[in-house]
Amino acid sequence: MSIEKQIMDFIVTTLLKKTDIHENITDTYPLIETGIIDSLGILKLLSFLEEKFNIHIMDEELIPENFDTVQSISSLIKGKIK
Amino acid sequence: MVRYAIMRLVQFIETSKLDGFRTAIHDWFYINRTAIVVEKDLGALSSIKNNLANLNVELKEISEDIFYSLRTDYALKNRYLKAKQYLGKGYRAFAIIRANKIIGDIWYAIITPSQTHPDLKWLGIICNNNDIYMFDMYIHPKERGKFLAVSLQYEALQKLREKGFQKAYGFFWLDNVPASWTHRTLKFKEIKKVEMLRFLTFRRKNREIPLL
Repeated sequence: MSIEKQIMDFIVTTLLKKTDIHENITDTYPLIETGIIDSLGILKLLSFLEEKFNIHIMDEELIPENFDTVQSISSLIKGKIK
Repeated sequence: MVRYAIMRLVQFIETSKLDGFRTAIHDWFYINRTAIVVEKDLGALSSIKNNLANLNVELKEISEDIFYSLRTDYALKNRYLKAKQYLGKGYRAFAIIRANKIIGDIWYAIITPSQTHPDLKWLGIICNNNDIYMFDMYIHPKERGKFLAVSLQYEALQKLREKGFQKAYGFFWLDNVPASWTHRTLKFKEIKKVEMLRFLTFRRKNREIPLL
């Protein structure tokens, strides 16, 4: 399964609220401005990513630009598991 | 002093119950904890999705004059006791209220020759006229995960800009991921790192590292 698909599955099953329509979520869908990744969501996402891909995300990497879309999260992960 | 001790004890008990014993202890004992000092130019606030209206909550400013006339209560006892202490020192807050319960708040101090805030000294922040210091944002644990923290802080910044303030200062602990995320989402500028030691009420600054 691709990294994008694994991240997408996690977002749909764990971070989406009942009112969110998951068909709208694409690789480039804005996750922060739509409130899908909020201050609690980022905690859950970080622990999922670190465990799933066996990586460590540094404090300075915890910036909105790295988590704004599935695509940007995936780029961050790919850069770490090269 | 007795009131302060009671408030801290209640805070410890409530934090232990809601966030766990380790979190409660971590507020009181640390050796090299890193605070990031931040500033926000209120003229450069970019708009974000406001979630407050969708969540059936209202935002109110709280000052000593109106606090006791509001028919509201805090969802947590320690936040109520803390609010009374802060108001007594002249600080103000923006609070989000649902069904007459305050479920989250963020505090600010207007720095004048007669009023300051103790954090400014150890953080090394110098506030000018028209600057304010924001501190101690809290969202009730049962209300987290709804984009409330960012929405509350954003609305507070907007209201402060409308009052004529130009710059807001504050800090977050680097190990506090939700706080760090909230400040970075709102694009606060990170000015410096301050490494701190704390043992109960004793605090000491270990090191200061400029980031700009």
